[in-house]
Amino acid sequence: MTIGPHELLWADPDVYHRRREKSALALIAVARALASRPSSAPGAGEFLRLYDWVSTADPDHFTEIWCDPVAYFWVRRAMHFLASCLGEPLGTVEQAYCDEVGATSAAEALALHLEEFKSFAIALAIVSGRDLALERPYAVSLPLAVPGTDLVITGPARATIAGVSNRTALTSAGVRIEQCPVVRVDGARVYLNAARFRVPGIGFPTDWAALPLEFQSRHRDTVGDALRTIRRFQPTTFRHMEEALHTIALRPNDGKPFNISASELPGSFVCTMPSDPFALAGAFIHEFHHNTLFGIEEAGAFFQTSERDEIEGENHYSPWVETLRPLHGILHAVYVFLAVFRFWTAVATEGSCDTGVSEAQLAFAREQIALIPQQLRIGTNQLRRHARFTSFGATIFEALAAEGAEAEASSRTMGASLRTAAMGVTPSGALRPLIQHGKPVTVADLLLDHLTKSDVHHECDAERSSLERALGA
Amino acid sequence: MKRRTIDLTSLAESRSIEIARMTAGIHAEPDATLWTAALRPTTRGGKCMVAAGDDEPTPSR
Repeated sequence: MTIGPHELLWADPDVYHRRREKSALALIAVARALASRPSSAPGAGEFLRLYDWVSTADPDHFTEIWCDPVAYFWVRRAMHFLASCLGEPLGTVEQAYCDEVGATSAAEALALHLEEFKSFAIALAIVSGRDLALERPYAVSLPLAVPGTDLVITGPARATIAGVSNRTALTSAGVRIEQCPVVRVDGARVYLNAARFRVPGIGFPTDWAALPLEFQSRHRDTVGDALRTIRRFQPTTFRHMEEALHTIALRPNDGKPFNISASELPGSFVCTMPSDPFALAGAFIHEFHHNTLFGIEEAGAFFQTSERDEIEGENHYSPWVETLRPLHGILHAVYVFLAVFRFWTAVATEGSCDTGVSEAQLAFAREQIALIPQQLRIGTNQLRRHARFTSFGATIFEALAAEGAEAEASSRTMGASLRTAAMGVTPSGALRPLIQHGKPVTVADLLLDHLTKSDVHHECDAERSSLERALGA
Repeated sequence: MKRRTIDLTSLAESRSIEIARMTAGIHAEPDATLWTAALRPTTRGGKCMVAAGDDEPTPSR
């Protein structure tokens, strides 16, 4: 590690560019591998001719397209399917991909996947103004988010695109081309585009991603407010967002709200709406830092591999979710909640009702300042108990653990306690005090209730006793 | 902030060793030779709420 862990975790702006550049190197590698074995997959010849066409594009235009989150998804799947054609086992995402598209072999999946490269060529033709005639029309499931642009091709469930002329896609009948909302705050330019998440094998339900763009438009102002809130209270993160935040997909609250990031779609995440703009800002900071840590992970693995499956094995109590989680997920949570804690600390110390922060938002900040450090302590204890880190991972973990301890000290200094009132979020996004059986709920109630319900293996009995002692004192 | 340009042509020349290693990696084990870290599909986050009727608040977590 050439820079210190703190800088790497919080202040390295190159982490995003390195990842994008690596995905471009991987594209060249995929083309070379296919060129050396053109019989690896049907459609390899057409892909290689399109690749040659793409590689002669103006670099600024290529960058615009290749910064799309789906570019990383595409190139990584291409490498894995190629490797699987040569005998490597399919990974989790690739297996899910095959299941979703109905591919029965790696070669079949690779052929279908190479076809999807046409979306990047089409996007490049639209952005650059160079006409493109595809050898075989691109058969596509709609809606399609055109990579690197605000364009969404909608209409019937399936359509074909024959090419591009005068910056216009030549589509089959009944197809419409719409524009998704784009939120601009200073140098940040964020597409609100749920269709970007319509990629096979992503690992969570995306039925909402085909909803009309009107849903994204309806919440555009709240997204702008949230980004401006981040600029005001956490300007360092905002600067990183200017560099790396590409797409936010908003999904409606269907009674099962979730916000989510995918390691395979860097620069993007999903948030459930409606939401209070400050709570949404906290969610953006949370999800964006998952993106950042995914990028940092490409410098080296955090965990030693073992049969316990630290990455996907849902084996351990996490104070943040109801179900057991992998150690990898707990490490991610510790990292992202440090950033969220700092955000709410800034809101509580710098904000006031006179400066546009509501009493409910300040109460929410106080709750988060009391709650998060307790969760951080449980999370770091879980990692210390169960994780076997690599040298790189240990350096990262110890830095996070030290910052967690600092957060706890800071929380105490600010007067937060286990008896701080717990806050809730209503389905309409309002922030309200939590009341149960006619009594206000405290942070301690939340923590103990969660331990009771979710620590099914009693991994955190010591933390529970400590909380009970603190309440009795 | 303007994103830094990615120039495929110049990358192909200036990073030829890395590309050769990646190309070779396709014939071996991509996770070990290219992506190094295990990057898995999702991580859940944000408001972990449960459904509530009548706009009643649920814990923010």
